[in-house]
Amino acid sequence: MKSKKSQIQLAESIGVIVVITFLMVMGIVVYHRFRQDSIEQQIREKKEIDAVSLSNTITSLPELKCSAFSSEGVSCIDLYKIKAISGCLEKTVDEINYYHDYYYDYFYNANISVIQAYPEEKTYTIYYEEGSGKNIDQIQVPVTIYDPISETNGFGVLIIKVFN
Amino acid sequence: MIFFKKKRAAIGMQFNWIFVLIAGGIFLIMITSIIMTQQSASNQEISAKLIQKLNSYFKIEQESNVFREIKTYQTVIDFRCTEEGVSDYRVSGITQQTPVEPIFAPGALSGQTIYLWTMDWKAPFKIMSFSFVSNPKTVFYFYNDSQNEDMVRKVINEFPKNLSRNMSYKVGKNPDNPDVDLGETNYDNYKVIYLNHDVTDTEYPYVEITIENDMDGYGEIFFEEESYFLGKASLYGAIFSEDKESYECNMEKAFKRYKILSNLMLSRTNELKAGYSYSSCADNYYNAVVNLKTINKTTSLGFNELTEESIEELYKAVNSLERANDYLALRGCPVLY
Repeated sequence: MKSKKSQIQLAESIGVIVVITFLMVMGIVVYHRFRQDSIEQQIREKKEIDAVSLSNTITSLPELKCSAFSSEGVSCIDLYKIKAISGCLEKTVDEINYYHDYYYDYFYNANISVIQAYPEEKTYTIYYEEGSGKNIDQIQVPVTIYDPISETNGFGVLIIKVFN
Repeated sequence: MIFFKKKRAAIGMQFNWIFVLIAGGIFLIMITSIIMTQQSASNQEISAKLIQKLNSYFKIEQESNVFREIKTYQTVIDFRCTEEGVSDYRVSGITQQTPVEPIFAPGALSGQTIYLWTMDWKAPFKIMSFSFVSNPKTVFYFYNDSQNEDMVRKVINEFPKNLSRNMSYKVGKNPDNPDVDLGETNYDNYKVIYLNHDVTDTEYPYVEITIENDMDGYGEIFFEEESYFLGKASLYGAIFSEDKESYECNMEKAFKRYKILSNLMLSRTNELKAGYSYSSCADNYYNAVVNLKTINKTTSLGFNELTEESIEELYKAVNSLERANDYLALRGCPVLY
């Protein structure tokens, strides 16, 4: 009789431990789930911030920016600088590859282009590397395109697509 | 019979205690491991946030001449830039690659405060921002006497206040207390800087810098082996660098970008030259093309291949390009940069 009582007590103890362990494991799983969601949310936000910060950086890069004397505002891009960097001007394949390799360390997987809307419609691809990213964060920045030879201002949009 | 029952009860009691001990132990291990995991995750999160913060400051496009004092938790940051092209920094086991950003810093910085100073590198147009990293445990000693006093003062005057307090004119002495030997202080990094002065007998790490013309000019740097600088920012780069290898590695990154920018500028200037061929601007565009070709030729070889002749030739081309740009601006022609 006593032995049966002891067995019941032991079974009760084991039951309590199993229930506590189960609750703890459930708690950990739920906590991790929430934490993972929060981390994913943070990563998403960081990528969006990176894309915005990239757009700010690009318009102030000396390889695109208008010179101090011709600057028409914050987002002014020099037409001949766009032509030079997009390979429209005289460039060898080696030079274009060298540019791409260099800018990859800076832009990673992104598509950066300028669509000129006025005085003529034209698209210049500044950098392109799609990589294996599926999600795209896209930022569009209106820009003034300054032609130093005709000394006229055009208008366009700088499009930055970041592949994540 | 009673004896057996008592023995059985005693075994039952013991078994209960063993059971509680094992179960309690397992719980204790579980809770400890959860705490440890959380602590490590939290440390990693703090390190990741610090890296994110530093990354935003190490960008190649920064406002020039900005000094920042970054407060952090007690940590060690290891900076590395080697001649094999490995460039990164590490905070609590998290490594961040810095393939394009020139960061001039000691090998390791420990503590809760980081000093960060940025300066544009121009030759003559802006190429990129240089980052100089230091902390309160880093000290620079400028050796001076009547021979080089003016130059030392010029170089020191450019330093932000928080950095200049860690300077001394007495080699080997604590700047806070000149009667105490450097070896008896708790500075982690120290270096003696000889500007336009031969190295005196010193047991401390040193760099000897010979400046031609002025700080914006060019010159030789001697970290037990010869190297060069071009422009003020690279002169300060040499002062902040751990050694020749890390200085040259960072300058190599800068030269890579210099090559690209001069090449792009050459293409643009050729277009301007063609567009203004029958105007008073033409000569200056022609000169600019010649100088940009020289810059392009020198930068294509790489920083490590610089010689006394090539750095002088580069400096002349830079000066000439600057003059051409000034003339163009004066004549109302489209400027080069």
